[in-house]
Amino acid sequence: MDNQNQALDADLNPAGETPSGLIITENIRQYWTESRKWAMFFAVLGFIYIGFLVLSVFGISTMGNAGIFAGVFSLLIVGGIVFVPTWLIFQFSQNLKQSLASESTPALGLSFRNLRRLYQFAGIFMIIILAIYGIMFLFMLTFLSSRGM
Amino acid sequence: MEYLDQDFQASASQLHPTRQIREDWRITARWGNFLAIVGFVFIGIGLLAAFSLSTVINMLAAMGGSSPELELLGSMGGWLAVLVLVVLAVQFMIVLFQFRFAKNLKTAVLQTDQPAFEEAWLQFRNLLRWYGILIIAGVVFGLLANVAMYAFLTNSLSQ
Repeated sequence: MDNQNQALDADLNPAGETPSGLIITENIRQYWTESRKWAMFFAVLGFIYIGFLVLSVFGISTMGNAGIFAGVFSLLIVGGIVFVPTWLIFQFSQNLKQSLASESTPALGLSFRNLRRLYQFAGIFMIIILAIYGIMFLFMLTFLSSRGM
Repeated sequence: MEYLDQDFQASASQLHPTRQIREDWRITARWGNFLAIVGFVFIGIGLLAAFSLSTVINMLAAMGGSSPELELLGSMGGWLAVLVLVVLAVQFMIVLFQFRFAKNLKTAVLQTDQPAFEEAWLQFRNLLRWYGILIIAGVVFGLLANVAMYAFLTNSLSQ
């Protein structure tokens, strides 16, 4: 038989702590609210940029086959690089808004999953840029040593 | 029928970090830390480049003697160095916010540290705020530069 003398909320922390121990306080909710507004601003700017990019590709594609090729190529490269973080930051902001409004933990999870993906994307992109710099540096060294400089 | 814990349920926030969310935060902190360290290295390289550029410009200006082009370059060299330093200082603040966000989030998740948890999201808010102000300043500066160029071109064409 259960111990009748223990308090009814003995398994709950007095501060209402969750099992993970970290509490989402009013301060954190305020930081998240402001952060998601800025995030939405960046996402809107990103979408506007992509819109201009698509319009410019239409402009370039009127210059014949080479123009169409250059346009589609730049749209795939630049558009892909810009679209992925823009979409992730949009999803982060949208889900955080929904989670704060409706107290939804699954939406909170989705929001921070997208933030994680955004950071992973930025990190991998940075590694690729560093690798390109490294290769360029090696080429330069090889070129200079072959010229006997 | 009333439940004894109904007051508790109403007062406590229903949002809580699950195990999966904590794992996502841990990975975010790791990548954030990497990005911040790379950012610091780039700022260091930028500082070196700015100093060497201003030194080269000053040397050219000193060697040029009375050449008006080199005198102009010499006078611009100082302003250019100041501009580069301001840009680097703003970038440093952004990278610093990134670093503090990553460091505090990692501490909060690994050690269940509530003050570090609050500090992490404060730094994240500051990071986005500075990025936002920087972007707005860049857009305004770009628009002003375009308007000035347009005014200059129309003025010079009409003469």
